[in-house]
Amino acid sequence: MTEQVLEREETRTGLSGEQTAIRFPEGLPGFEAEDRWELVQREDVRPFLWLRSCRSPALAILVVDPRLLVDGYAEKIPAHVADRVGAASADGLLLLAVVTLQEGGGATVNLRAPIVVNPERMVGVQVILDRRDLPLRHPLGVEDDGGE
Amino acid sequence: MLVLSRKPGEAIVIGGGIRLRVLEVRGNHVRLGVEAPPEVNVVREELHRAVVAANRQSARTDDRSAALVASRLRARGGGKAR
Repeated sequence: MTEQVLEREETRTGLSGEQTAIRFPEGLPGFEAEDRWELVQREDVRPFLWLRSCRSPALAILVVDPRLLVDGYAEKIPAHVADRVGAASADGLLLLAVVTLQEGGGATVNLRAPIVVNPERMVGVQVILDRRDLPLRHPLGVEDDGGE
Repeated sequence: MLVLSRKPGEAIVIGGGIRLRVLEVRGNHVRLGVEAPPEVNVVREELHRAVVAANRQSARTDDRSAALVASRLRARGGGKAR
């Protein structure tokens, strides 16, 4: 899924990324006015990606595909989420979880409110799931002391 | 802010498609029922605020810190959490 969206990044024509822009009609919580974002892949932050606002290129959020980190995560996404991005099912959707870095070198990912993208239509939304078993700050286990 | 008074059982209609009903009042607790189409996000305010805070915190990440944490994650290997 990520590859499909990123391939468009590589074939951009230089028209300020219009072809690679993902439309977010509702923006993101906290950034409701930012309605177009693009995924930026940089080797130094792999497996993280930057989700950068097209309107405000200095604004970028650190994200990661939660499927890489958590088994069975995709199954927890309810079917109606696919409706919100114009997809027939949740199968083809790209999922991104927001990463926040903590003092002391740790990092957490937001599994409670994933960003969901339909790669066919290049439309996305951040949904806040009604699931108390999914943490807002799931630790990545990369603290300095190596604790798990 | 529009302020309305409701008794238990009474409701308000928002935008024609969303209905908010007061189900029960007990002490300082109010139980509310919300009917809305699935595409409308309905969340407790504090949860929405926490998501906003996490997004804004992520937006303040600098390249160097992100690269450092990423390299540690790669070094740790592909171990997945359950």
